[in-house]
Amino acid sequence: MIKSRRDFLKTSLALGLIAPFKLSATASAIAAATSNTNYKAVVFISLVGGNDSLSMLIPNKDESADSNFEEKGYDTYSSQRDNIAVANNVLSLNSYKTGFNLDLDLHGNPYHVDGTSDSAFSKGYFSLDNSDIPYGVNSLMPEIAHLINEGEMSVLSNIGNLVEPITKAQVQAGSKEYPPFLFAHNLQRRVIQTGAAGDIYSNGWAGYVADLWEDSFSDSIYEFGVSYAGTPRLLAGDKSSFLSLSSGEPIVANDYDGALGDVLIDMNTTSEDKPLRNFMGNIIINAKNSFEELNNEWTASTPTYESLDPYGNKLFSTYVESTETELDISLRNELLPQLETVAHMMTLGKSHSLPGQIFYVELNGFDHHSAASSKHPQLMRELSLALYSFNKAMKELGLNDDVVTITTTDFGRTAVQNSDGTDHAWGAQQLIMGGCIQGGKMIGELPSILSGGESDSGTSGRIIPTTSYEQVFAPLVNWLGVGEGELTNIFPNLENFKSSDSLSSAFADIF
Amino acid sequence: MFHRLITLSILLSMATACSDSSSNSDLDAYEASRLLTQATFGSTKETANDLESSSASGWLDKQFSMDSAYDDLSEHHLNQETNLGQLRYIMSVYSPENDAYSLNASDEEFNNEGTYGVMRFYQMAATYHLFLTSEEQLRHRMAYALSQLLVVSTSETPLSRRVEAIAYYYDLLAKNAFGNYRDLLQDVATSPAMGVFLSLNGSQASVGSSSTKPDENFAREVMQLFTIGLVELNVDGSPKLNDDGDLIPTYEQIDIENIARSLSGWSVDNSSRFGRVGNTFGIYTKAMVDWDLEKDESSEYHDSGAKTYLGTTVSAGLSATEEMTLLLDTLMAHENVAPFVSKHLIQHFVTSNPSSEYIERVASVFNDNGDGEKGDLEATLRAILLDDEARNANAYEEGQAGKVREPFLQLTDMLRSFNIQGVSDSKNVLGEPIMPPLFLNYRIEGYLSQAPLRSETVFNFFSPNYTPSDEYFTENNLVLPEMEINQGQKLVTQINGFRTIIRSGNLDSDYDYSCETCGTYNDLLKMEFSPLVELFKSELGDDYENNNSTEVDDEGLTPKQRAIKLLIEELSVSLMNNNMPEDYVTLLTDYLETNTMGNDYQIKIAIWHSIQLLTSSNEFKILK
Repeated sequence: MIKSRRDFLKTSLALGLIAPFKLSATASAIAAATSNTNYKAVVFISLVGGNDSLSMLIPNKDESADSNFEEKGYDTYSSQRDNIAVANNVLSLNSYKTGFNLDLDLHGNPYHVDGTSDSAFSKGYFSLDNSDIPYGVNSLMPEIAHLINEGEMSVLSNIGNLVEPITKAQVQAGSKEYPPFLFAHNLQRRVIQTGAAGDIYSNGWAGYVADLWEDSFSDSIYEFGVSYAGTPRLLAGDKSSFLSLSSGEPIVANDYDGALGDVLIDMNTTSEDKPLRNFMGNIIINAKNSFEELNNEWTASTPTYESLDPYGNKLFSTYVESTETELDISLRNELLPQLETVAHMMTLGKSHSLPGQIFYVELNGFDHHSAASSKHPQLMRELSLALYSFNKAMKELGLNDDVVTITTTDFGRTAVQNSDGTDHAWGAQQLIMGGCIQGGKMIGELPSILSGGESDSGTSGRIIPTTSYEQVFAPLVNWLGVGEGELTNIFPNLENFKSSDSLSSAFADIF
Repeated sequence: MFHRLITLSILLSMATACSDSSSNSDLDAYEASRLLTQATFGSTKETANDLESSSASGWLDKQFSMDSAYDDLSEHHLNQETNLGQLRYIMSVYSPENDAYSLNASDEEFNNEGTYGVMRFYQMAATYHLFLTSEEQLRHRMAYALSQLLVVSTSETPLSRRVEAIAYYYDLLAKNAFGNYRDLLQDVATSPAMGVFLSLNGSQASVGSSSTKPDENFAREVMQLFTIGLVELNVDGSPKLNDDGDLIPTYEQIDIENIARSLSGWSVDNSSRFGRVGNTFGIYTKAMVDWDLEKDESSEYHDSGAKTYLGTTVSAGLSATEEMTLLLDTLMAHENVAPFVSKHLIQHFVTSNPSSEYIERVASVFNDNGDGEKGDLEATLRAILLDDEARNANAYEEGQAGKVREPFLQLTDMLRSFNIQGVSDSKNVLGEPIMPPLFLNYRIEGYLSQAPLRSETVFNFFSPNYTPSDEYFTENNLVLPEMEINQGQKLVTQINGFRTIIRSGNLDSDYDYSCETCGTYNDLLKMEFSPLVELFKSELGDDYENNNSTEVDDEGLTPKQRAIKLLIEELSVSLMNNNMPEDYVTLLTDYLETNTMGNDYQIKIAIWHSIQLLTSSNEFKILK
């Protein structure tokens, strides 16, 4: 019998060879799980739609002054973006902060020009003084610049979906394999999450870990995977489930705590051999029971924070009105409440001595084919505020060394603009944050961004990635406690990126 | 063991009966209700009674030939049985002080205020009006299914304010619901809603030395999501493979770039400049214009150079209008369109996991309706609903049949089952006492994780390929798309949303529908439960003392037991396709017998609880 989508593919490749591969792998990894004495967690932020990371992190080196940056610096960037380029205007972070509180009395919003999103978007950037990172941070994200300068965060440069290292000539000749359906939102987002850039059918890499560690969660309402945005492929395993939650307090089904609840459970319990009805029934019973238990635990302990956000409000404050951000559009208030909830959930996970968890959260709305300079600001602003608050929260909760937060996005966007936005592309810059990562540096390579240039897979600045997502995820999973022996099962392409015999030579340099 | 044998013999006899079933034979009560659950916004006692003892094909004939509000759209904005007409009617009545909302306002004047946030709720009320009350149930159900294929949404600025664009777009779907897919594509591609949603509006040719490129958004999705998909398909929906056993992509990036060039030059019609959109300018209730051709002959927004895509060469010098025709003809001619569109519709009406034979039968009709026409949606829909895999409830192995129902269709089913009515919102500044009833459901998205034409992205509310992490489904390679929004916290929220609507929105409650509550965004939906209360009471001889009567009838039932039996039979018709499972009957009976039914209110509470339970049950959430 076919065991799983992943095994199905393996089996079909092996032409009927029966390999009880997964069973032995499971046994070894359970040992790894139980050796975890310390709660660890990964926060996976999906910037849905394809973040234009060239507007978030602006290549800011002067090409004429340093030939190392030819086709990689500000001149090339701005020449390909007629009306959505961020100005070559270096802003000083220090002039805007007092102990890193934005000085609102001095009208100190660094992104404020005349109260429009467009002007804030293109005003300028913060250079990263304490590092040699060749990017500047958009003026809408002073908190990000601050976190990088403080060594709390690093930039992952030119990350993307890759099956194996590939050059422009190899893309054009088709002589090496690259991910199928490049530039398609749903499938590129999916292969980031399957952990196999050539394979759209596999389970999620976190789902694979959840299957391995299933025993550690079997008696608990908690799961390895927790989603605050539906049912991502990342968390899909063969047999393990994950929690699908919403921001804030877990809500219970009303009226069902007594006799009526017993009837609900009985109605949805069936002994007949009806797989769909049984499955749906279990989902309903589970929703009733687990949310009652979760709600009890949640309301019994609520973390409080002494730190304040950059506006001097409590952490994770949301700004329904635009008066404080001085942007045309209010924040979505999507990521801020999700990360506040994640922090709270982590305290519960830690108190139950779970071996580890992964949290999936989303910020939506990044597909800026048009009106980029009026729509991107609110998203960059929320990302910046959310990561700042989350960093403070992790420190206060004593979790900072046990948590790594990483952003991902469907794909980067074209270095060349269309009328007033950008189109789907390939490599992009991401952010990684945590107490145990190497902070304050650029991980990966600075690519040429010239249209038609050496790194452009085509003609509009669709930059070929130089580091694959799997090179970043593999050390993360290893850090969570999964042995190297299991990594090549989870990330089947990982070995393609080795620079020596050691598997870890394929790891991106995040720790 | 004995019970199991009986069950088996019943199943066997059913199987025999059903194997004779054909689309022309008369439907029994269950079959009638099941067809209506598949093809309408919910079976009601009346519609099921009407259909019982007639045939499925007869019902379809009636639906297809019905006089329609969409037969003549020349006075579109005055036609209250369309989405736009209903929206304009609501706006004219509820905001009579504003000339922009008058029925006399031109397309250009309408909504030129652009800042009336509540209008999006009124547009939803217009959609509810059509879905819940229209006789043209199949047309609207088809339009709704199409809205989840050809997705637009208020999620893109400024469509959340310019909801007349959404209403107009919906009407294009409804107008073409029984027409031809090629005509529908034309209307969709040139609609302001799609133009704004996928930024075809304002996409322009590269000019001079500028590195600016035409926008690729619509160029990509019109192929990936609306017509041909990502890989070459056989007519049965299975992927074609090349000699190496690999999937064959339908297009390359260069095709998208050239199609983007081909599609440059379209703009929402407005009096200022090309591609400009906003809350207060532009006409959103007529097709976009080919700017170079229709607005400014000196402009060159369209890239009229020669280009090649999908193996088709386009010669230089054609207008944007001509190139749109060429592109849509090319896509329509592709072999993928039939299986691609057919499978989507089958999954939305009948089953998540159709056999390849079923897809092929339907796709073949899409390819040729018998008169040599490709893309006939009426013929396609007929093939879908009259197929044995649709009509025969036992056509599949247990577990592979049917689908999980969308939360929204669960809701409309419940609402229609209990005579849903809108509520007069007397918010009128003139304080007029009589206002047209509105179906206001402000919190629908919060309750259900979905609402018509309100998807977060062009990828709809759920993926057609979603498989839950459950061994049965992963091992058998089965998808359950709607399950994506039927689990976890979303499911709990949905159950609580149903509870709120059941409890607050019914005719008999003391709920205050007056203007005082209007501003607080309360949902104004009311179902009618009083007939059920009356039924119960009449069995007690209108005397609550009879609750305690031990006198039994021929079947050995006390008055209270008899009342409960009849109530459950009614609920079975309303919510369970007249086929409530035996264990549900037993459980509900036991529960209700322990309830005190000493007055009207207690009876009503018991009815509410029963409906809450049934709508939170696996049987209700599954369409078999």
